[in-house]
Amino acid sequence: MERSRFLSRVEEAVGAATLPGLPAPHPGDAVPDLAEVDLTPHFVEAFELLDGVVHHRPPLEVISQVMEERGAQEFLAWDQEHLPADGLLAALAESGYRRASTCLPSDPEGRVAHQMGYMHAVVGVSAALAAFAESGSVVVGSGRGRSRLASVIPAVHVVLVPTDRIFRSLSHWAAQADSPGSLANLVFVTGPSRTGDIELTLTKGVHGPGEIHAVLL
Amino acid sequence: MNRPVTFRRRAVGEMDTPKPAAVGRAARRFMGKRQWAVDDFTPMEETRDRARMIRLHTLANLHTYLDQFADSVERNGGQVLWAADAAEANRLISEVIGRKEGSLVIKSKSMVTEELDLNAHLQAEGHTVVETDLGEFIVQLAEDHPSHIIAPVMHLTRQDIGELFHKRLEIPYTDDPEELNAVARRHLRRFFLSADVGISGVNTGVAETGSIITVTNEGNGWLTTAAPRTHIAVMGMERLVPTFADAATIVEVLARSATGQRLSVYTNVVSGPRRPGDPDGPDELVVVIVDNGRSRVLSSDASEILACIRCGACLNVCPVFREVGGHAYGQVYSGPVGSVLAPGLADFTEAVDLPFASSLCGACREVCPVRIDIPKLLVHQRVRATRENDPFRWLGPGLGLYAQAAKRPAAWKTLLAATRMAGRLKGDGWFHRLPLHAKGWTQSRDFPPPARESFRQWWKANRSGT
Repeated sequence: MERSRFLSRVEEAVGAATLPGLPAPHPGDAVPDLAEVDLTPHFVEAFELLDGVVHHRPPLEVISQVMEERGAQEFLAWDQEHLPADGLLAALAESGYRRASTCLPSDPEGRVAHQMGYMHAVVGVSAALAAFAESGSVVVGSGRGRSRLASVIPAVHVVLVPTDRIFRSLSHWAAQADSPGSLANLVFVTGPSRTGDIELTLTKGVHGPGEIHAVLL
Repeated sequence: MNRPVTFRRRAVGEMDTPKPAAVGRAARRFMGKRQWAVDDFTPMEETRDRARMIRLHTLANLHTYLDQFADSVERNGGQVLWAADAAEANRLISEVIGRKEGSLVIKSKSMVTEELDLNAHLQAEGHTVVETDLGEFIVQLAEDHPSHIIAPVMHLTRQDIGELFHKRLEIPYTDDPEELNAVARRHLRRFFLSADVGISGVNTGVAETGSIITVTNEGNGWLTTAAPRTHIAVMGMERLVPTFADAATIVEVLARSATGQRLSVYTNVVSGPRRPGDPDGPDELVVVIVDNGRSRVLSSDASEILACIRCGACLNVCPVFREVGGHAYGQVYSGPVGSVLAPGLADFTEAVDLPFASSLCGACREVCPVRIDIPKLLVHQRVRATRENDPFRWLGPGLGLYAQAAKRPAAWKTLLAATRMAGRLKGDGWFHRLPLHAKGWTQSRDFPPPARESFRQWWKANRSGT
């Protein structure tokens, strides 16, 4: 159906609607609570409650340990300039770990072949643009040098979290976020992948990473 | 009139299976979890009020916000298609997929595509369609239908699922959820990475930014929208809010209300196809906005039901749903919300008996995160069903018969004695089917066993003369 016809049909229905509280004003912008509070302990508590692992050690140490535990040689990661830990990728390379390319070929077949190479990816490294204390969430966004699949495909997600980017909650962040629609993809990640579909028994890692590590910076 | 299978027939059938016990257990556990998250440091009651105002405001200006949303999606580089009904939506989606010569389609959970019966349509066209939500994947393997908005296989036990995986995926039998989960992960992974097209639903669209938001706990929503070259988002036309901050409020309320989480594990915001320089993500984003009866519901007495954010909480608290499960409703949307929505979407030509499948106890209204007065809407739908289909033809003559008997003491006594006699002859004393004009009563409920003695007999024996 043409857009104009579709919309005029909707407009007609709106005119006949029996909604309570018309004219139904918008509630206005929520006023964020700006009182200075150290949100880090709140974030840590919420993140751990979800079975996330919090680290106060240097990222190199954490990633090396995870790679070793899993017997992994290769990892996925964002470009160095988007990771708030100088020289991290170079140091990982020096330790003998290989970073898989996250740049997809533009032809369809090449793209699928490249993506199939992620089939057994074990570790992915990315960084949080923001974090929410209330829910223990980290925000990962797409962009140049910032692969989406690096955060969602591997079995283990290591995310670097600058503590000065911790907000009270999603709503608090959204109230001040500057053009949140400017990135093609934003994901608020809240703990490891989980499902309760089988008799509501919680199991982890069904599609996304079953393990998530936050390295606080 | 060709009478469809009624709610009563389906409900009685479902209650004879082990499903209701599984559903009842699951629904109660859902409620337990929900209580954990409603008292946090986001002030829940205020946030609910806010969410309600946002939803009602959006509906009252829906055409304006849809217009703005479409502009925003296009500005982000996406394409918007408009579907008046299911047939048109399916045709549009086919055209997008056909253009790609692609035939592997992955889906993340979407109720609106259930409404369209999209999978059957695409499979008939020769495409392979794979559901990726674990519950929906199980539903698809079982060639079944989802029974709950949030938990599609609430009606199956782990043994059922173990058997199913054993037969269909040719793995050794196990009923351990961890192992079943690992099997599904391995099995679905290659579909994610090699699919041509990903189809998602939309939990909420954002008019201001042209974003579409999907929430999942498994990560399949994110994978579906991140890996394939083409992302098609199918959106019920009412699933919209004005601003990004409004969307934040809605997803906070949704997660708490659906599963007792502060936020779902993956709240995925897509604002257009990948930008120049992005290493991955879809090259193409198509948003299909679907009416399919919604403008009819909007212009009816039941407009308010469109404020629903599909959390499923009203199903979990509903005493009727807990007894009969989702399948008894015979519609895509079940429980209290489905009982209002389904007859409206179907133009009252089917599902007219669903508004009566409720005791109007009000638990759904109490629990609704956007405070929809569901019992009131159920009554509206009952009025309309009665006016248009009159399922209560028995009521007048039935009450007439009652009045005749009640006016004549002798006739009344005989009637009661006969009822008691009949009750004693039956095993449990309950009447499942009454004769003549009284049969209307047992169309939607059983008649309780009569007392062994009448009140008059009891009075005579115990109180007369004192």
